[in-house]
Amino acid sequence: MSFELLDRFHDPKLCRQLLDKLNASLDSEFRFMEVCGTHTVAIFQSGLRSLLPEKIIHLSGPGCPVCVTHESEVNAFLDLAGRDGVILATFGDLMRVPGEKGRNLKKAVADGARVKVVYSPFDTLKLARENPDNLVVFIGVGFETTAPTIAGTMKMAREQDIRNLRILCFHKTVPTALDTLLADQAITLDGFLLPGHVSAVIGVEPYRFIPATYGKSAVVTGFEPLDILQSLLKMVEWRNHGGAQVGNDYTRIVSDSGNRKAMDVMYEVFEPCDALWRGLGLIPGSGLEICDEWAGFDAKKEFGIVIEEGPALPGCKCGDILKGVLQPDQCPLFGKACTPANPVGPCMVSTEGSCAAYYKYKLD
Amino acid sequence: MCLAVPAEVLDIQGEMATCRVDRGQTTIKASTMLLPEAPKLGDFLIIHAGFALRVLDREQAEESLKSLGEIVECSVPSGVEG
Ligand code: SF4
Repeated sequence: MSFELLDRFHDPKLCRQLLDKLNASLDSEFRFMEVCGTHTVAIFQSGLRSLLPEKIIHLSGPGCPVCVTHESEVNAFLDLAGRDGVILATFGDLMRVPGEKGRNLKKAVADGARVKVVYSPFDTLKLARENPDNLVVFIGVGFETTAPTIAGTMKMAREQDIRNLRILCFHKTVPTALDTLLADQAITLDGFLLPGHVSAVIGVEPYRFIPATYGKSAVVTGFEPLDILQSLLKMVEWRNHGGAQVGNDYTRIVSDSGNRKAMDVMYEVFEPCDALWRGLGLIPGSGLEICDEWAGFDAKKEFGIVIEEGPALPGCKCGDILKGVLQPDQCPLFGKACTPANPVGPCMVSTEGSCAAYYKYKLD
Repeated sequence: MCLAVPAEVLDIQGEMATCRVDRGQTTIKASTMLLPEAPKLGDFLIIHAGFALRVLDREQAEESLKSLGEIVECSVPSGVEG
């Protein structure tokens, strides 16, 4: 029954009607940024990008967790790979992310490093149990969707008295990054499509500053074409009526107050910290670090890892792509020196990366 | 990492749900420890990195589809006050 219910969110007739209405509502350009890698893929995969009116300008934002992982953070986990007694555990997307001098985790494995790709941080519990003489270090990248899953895993590890699991915590939080983007005069935007699943955790409240401080609209939305079109139409119509608001078009999944339980688990283990973002630089209060009570899990403390600003990848424009200043095909390396088979930067590696999405869908 | 579509709960053992993705044969397991309330068989879950983050609210889904129909008919959609 419910699969039919879900199917109705990509009803082509309704899509067409919404597109027509969007077209009729536009009296000038509307520049929107989507803040979630899953939206990037959804917009391309559904064919929506080529159907959107010309006046709708689509920019991809800093919502691919792998892509915003800072160069220094990449080098830090590459340095850990191959250390005696360490087994790195990671989501698959990080395997080919390039660090300095073309290093990546795949090459580290070829050189003898022990790196295990996991589907869930939960899988690290088994890995730690099976390798009691090694430290299993999980690379924790991601936003408020991923952080609670890692916090939950740490709680389970403590309950099960697993002592050889460490977390290399590079988590980042979305609303603070949007604040930084909006404060940047070089970036011109009319509205944000807000991430569906980050918002399932944090709710809608943390985004209220967007209209209040910056006079821009923002809508939490789902991943079906109808969701996306509906949210774009709303923002355009709000602008036409001289206003900006925050909306929620994903009420089937997101409640205004979010998922309190997931937030509680997350903040039992983590606390806010300053964080470096690729492209955006240091953003105060935009990261999560392991709090003192859970310090025994902290790989940064265990290995004395300090993350500092360092050189960017030569030639790669990921930083400007993540800010919406450049489109992927404006990077001189796009499709030439940089392809999914031979990626120069993380935006071409991750399945949620803008360069990879452009390459896969736009060149077809 | 993140499944954009909800998966249907087929079985629950303690805090672990086995779910069906789309209509196919593919099943995945997800911990329910981050949900405020235990899900029921037949519920649809949003799953991220092996953990369920939300249960799909069917009433809200119906409501959204209804208002989508209305939007194509009328002019200014309602929002949350900024
Ligand atoms: S095309 Fe490659 S080099 Fe250019 S910005 Fe994208 S990932 Fe970086």
